[in-house]
Amino acid sequence: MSAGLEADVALRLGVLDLEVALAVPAGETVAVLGPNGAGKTTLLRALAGLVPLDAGRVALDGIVLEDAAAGRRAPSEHRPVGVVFQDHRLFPHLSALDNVAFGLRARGVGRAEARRRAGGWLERVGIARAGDRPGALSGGQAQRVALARALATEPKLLLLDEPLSALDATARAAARRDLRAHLGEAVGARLVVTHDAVEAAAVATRLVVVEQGRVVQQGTLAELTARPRSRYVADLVGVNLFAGRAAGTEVEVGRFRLTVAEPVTGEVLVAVPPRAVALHRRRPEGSARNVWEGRVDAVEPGPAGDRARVAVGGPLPLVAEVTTAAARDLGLDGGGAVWLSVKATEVAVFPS
Amino acid sequence: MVAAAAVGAAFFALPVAALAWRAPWGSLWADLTAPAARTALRLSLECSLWATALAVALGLPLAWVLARVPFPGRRLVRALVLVPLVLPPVVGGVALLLAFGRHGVAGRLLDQWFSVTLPFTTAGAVLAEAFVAMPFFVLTAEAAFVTSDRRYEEAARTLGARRSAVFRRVTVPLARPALLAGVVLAWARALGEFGATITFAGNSPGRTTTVPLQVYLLLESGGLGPVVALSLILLAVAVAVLVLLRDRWIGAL
Repeated sequence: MSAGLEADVALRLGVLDLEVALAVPAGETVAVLGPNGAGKTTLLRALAGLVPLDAGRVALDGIVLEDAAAGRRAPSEHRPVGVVFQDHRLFPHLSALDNVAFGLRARGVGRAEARRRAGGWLERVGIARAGDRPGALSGGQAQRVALARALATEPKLLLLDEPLSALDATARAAARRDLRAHLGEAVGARLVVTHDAVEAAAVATRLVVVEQGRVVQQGTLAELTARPRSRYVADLVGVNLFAGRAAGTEVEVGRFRLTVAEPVTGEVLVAVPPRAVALHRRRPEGSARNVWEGRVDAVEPGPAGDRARVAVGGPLPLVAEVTTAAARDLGLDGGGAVWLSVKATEVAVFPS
Repeated sequence: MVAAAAVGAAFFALPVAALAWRAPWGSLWADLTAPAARTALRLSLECSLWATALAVALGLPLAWVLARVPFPGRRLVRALVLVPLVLPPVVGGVALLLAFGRHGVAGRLLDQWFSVTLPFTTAGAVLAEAFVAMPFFVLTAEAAFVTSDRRYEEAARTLGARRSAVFRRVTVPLARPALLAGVVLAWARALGEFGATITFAGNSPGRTTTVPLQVYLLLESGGLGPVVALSLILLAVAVAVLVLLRDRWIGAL
């Protein structure tokens, strides 16, 4: 018996075939990442008791909520689980205060006491106008009220489905910071579903990547970045990933030969961090073992603003990340031919 | 085509206009406050409100089950609900007599066990009105429960609300505009009810003589003024209901 969530979820729903095992210790936040249709939301709904399992088991703090083999299943309303839905689902006919008080009232707390406590939660998430109906709230405010509503019942498991996706980019950065702080106040286990690596890294200590209903990789962001196990993970963490065949320190990727530092053999995955790719207008002199010519396909501002992401075509199409100053000096916006160099020591190789 | 349409429109408009034109505007107040008229008006109000309450009490759970719980024979039950809508009211009254009359299937038991007799009482008039009015409420409520947004109910369940609490605190409040429309429709139908009432409850002043029955009595005894006065009241209610619900109906068309 351990504190936190232990889940082994198997179910089929339409074309989705979900089979995910997951453990979240109490007091920890885990992010579930995956492309659309991977089964993230269904996983969350299964844990909340909104979709029955075909097989498997869900236990929270050692108490079994669902056991398909034993035919046991606690309905949603009997699970100590709080949910923040992607679309928030604030009751439109109740004020923000009564929305937050709803869970306490449903659990038998008296009206006055429930409202008093709800007011405290709203204050904690920074909502001053508790009497407003959800229709009068901004997206960011609605998100915080939804969070307060889920936190108010002090659930042993808090589930958040794309909590920040309904917000625009400017509101999201601040909301991300707040969310991290508020999640720290929740005593139980936390599970955040997202398709945004930045959001995941901001709120969670461990990331679980789900693709087509299966866990493809889990670990810290650093671990995922060092060894992405799929194209999706590589795109997610912004790493160029190639499948190839290695012999010694040479890896064949299609017809391209990439030199790596550590000798390996067989089928491998090769990860090239965008920042390890240097761009030049002329053939560079220097110690880099991998030098080749390509062409600039597109230049986009990077997530931080001071760096640009450059899509380079050619024998090994990849994304390079350079400072915006360098991009300007090289005149990359104009496109054209470009030389690339990558040091062998910067290329990560691991068996696939 | 346009001429034919004009004839069609006139077919509706003429009787209404005639009612207003022939109205004894001078003696209207006196006609409406005459003892018999006042009794009928009060009785109509009471009976129609009780009938509406009965239709809602019985109809709300029925509408919810029809909308949300799949069970064998659901189509049959849905068709049964529609019966009073298409059945001639007189036949409805006869049917009620056979069921709840003194020698009726259920009426006999009511009589023996509780000494309750329904036919030819005010309670009988309420029952007859509820019988014909209930489909209006059930149909509107069912449509509201079918189309209502289930996502909020899911959210309520994750917050620990049991089924009954979800229904009371989320489903019904969210469906309130549609439910109110159903209540108004049912009430208007109950208020105008004639055939089933006179068959099942008879026409005894002060007990079962509601406004439509009073109009019928007065027509037979020959006083046209009071007839038109009471008819105008029913017309005014009908127009008020129409205005109240016009956005719903015009929106639906």
